[in-house]
Amino acid sequence: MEKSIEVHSLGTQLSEIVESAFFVFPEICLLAFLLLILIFDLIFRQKLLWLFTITALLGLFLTTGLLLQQWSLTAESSEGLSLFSRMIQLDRLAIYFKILICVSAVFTVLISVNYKSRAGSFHLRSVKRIGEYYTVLFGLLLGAMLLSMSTHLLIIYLAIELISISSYILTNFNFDERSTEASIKYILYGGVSSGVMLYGMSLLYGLTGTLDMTHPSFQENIAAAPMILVLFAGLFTLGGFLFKISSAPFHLWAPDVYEGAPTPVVALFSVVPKAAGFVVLMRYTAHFFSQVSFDFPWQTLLAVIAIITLLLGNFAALWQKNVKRMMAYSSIAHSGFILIGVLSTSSFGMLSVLFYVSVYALMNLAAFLIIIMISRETGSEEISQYRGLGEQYPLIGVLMLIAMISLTGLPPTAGFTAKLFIFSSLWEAYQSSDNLMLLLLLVFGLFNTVVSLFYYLKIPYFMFFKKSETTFVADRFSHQRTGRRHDKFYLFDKILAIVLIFPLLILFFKSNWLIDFIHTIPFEF
Amino acid sequence: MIQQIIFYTFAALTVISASVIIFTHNVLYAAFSLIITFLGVAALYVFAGADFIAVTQVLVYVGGILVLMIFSVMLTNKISGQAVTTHSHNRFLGGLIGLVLFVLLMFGILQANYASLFWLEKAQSSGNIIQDSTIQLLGVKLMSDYVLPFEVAAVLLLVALIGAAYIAQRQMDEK
Amino acid sequence: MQHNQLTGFGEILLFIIGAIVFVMIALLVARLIRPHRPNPEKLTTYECGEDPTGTAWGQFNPRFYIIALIFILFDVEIVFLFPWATVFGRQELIAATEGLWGWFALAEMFIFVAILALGLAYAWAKGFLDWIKPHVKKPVYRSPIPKALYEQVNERNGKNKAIDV
Repeated sequence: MEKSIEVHSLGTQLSEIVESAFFVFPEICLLAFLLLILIFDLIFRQKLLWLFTITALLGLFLTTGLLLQQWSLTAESSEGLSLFSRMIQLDRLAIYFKILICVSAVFTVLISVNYKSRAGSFHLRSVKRIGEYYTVLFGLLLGAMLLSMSTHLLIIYLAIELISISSYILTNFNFDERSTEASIKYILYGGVSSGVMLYGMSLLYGLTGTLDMTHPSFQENIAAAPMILVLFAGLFTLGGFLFKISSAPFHLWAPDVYEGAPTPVVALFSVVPKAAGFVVLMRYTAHFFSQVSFDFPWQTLLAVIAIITLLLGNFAALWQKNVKRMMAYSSIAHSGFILIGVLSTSSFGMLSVLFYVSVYALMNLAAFLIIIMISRETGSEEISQYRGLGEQYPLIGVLMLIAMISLTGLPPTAGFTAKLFIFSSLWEAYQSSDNLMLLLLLVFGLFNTVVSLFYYLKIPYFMFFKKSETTFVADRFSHQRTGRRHDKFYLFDKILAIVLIFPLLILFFKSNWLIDFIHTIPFEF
Repeated sequence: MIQQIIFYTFAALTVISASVIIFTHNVLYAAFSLIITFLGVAALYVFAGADFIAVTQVLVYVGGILVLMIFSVMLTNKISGQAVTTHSHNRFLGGLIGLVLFVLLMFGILQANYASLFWLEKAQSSGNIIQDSTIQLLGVKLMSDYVLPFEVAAVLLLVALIGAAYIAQRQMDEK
Repeated sequence: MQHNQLTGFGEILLFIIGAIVFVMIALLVARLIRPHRPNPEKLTTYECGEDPTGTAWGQFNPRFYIIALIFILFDVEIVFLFPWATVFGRQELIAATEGLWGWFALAEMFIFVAILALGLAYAWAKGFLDWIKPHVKKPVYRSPIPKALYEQVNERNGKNKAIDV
């Protein structure tokens, strides 16, 4: 019995693990703040509500600081460190995404400060659930940060579950009927897709004897295994990742969840799990798809998935009357665009994915912030309620216009630059492989950009060119009579929206600021 | 010989109780027959040499998860004197997809011929095969190779508990 | 193959079969020797001598659910504790790693248990474990008859009873 335990190498292994702990300081910091907020919640109960937000922001800033320090310490050329006995891989790609996740989380916290759900049941200033909100939010972030580092299938599974379970809980935080319905749907789809993924992973383990994707024996055995089973294992595992990035055919949860969940949470959902999902998809593509020996047309497969995602997202968005639902389909469509960058599998493709995800995070957070501000004003999230708001509040109208132009991908915004990169990387990939499917994807991508123009610009159109309804006019007259129009928008929210929108313009004119940053990330497909 | 008989008995038990879950309309019966499925699967784990997993299966799934499931059936609002029943939709299409998937997977698994897989052959030739109880090996691995997943699992359980308890409590308050 | 393991579990299987057989025999014997004369009174559900009302399909208190949830949490925790407990104090492992093994294993398990214990503390502090006590309704009716009169009557009755007995 004693023979089976390898004693001689255990000492060095343990000291390696203890050393590894120094490289995951940002995650440890995040975990510490998660526990701290939970303890605060137990001590202070319903008092000192501002303390929770301050603590959460402090934790996120500290984590971001540690991440920036990590970034400066890692060399540009290094392949990254394998930590915890090859469980996770710390490289610049992971750090970049972790910074993106933390920054998005900071904005999510800032957005949710003034948010109030329709029934008033979710309002961080007045309701006691603040402790739970931040605890679960930090759990989600921890999962996303782990996922962006993971190369081991076990950690990938655990991180995805951590993100998913936190998401199910956060979806329910409005505690109304629609929110609960959305949460249940989310759990059902999520359970099925992670079951499918787990089955795929178990097949991969059976075929290779290891769960570590970077392990040489993983790649050796994948190359030696029979085609049909590798195909199944690969596709099933892929299903779990597609669920996280809300790509077809695992996108069905998105519209209901986006509509039912609290809006700040939706802003987070549309950015953080998606970003983490794309990192793991890139790693999976690099370590799995590129390794299969037989002639498996995985690039064509991903191209087909991207085309379906684009078509479904954009055309379904055309018919939506609710802004949040429309943004859900829009985020599905954007997943299709980012998938294009992933399947290009070049260093330029990687660059375009990173650029696109960063810009996408900014414009989505901005759009959701403005949706929150307007829904506080009108009490509704219907597009028809946006009539005449542009005239009434020019600043908000202009900001929304810029966000929507950027989401469409028109100049002079960073959305245009991002789409340009994505399509250039696709063109490059087409030229090097001569795969007709990629050309078809290019055509569909451009066509869908045109389609998206209609639903994105519908909102500014309603805001500026449609006259507001009679009830509103009367309301406005009454304001005029009293002299000053009562502006319900908080100054804080306005500044926040400008902070989010401004980089979208800057990055169009000075896109190389971000690109120089991304260029220092070594990643080989 | 006797091992094979026991194996096939448990396999049959698992499959039969699993099909009861699918075909019964009464949710409570489905939950009860899930107990038998879990027990059968635990026995199959024993045959696979995973003794610890088998015990865990009984302890966590039969002892914990199923109690929770039966509770949640009994907590369901709509019950007033009659059993909770379900109906299945799209039987034909669902059955067809299931069948196609089954045939394809069976084909793949049979074609793969697991016994001749590269890494298994290597392990067999080097005599690196677990003969005995796996629990000590698991303990060492849990504290060395798999220490990170171990701690992540703690966080996962914590978040799940907080969320589930909070939501359940909240629903209770509203009533 | 893994013969030691299988024989170990074979004993458990024998126990299970034995348990089932014993129950079967007891039921069968009872069925053979008991008289079989049912009537409606005998066939009602036994409820401590009361007449059963309503149905057994009533709704449960959701608190059961929360308690079951916390039970599962600690169930899983115990599952992780077992393999750890078999190896964490092993002499040869501690010796081979110059003492690091013991401290490391202890620290890791402490972190694990502490994180989960926080979950219990949460449920406890938030009052999810408190049982709802039934409201005892105190009667507000005030009798026009003075209390002393009742006592007198009681006393008299008591006397009567005492005589009776």
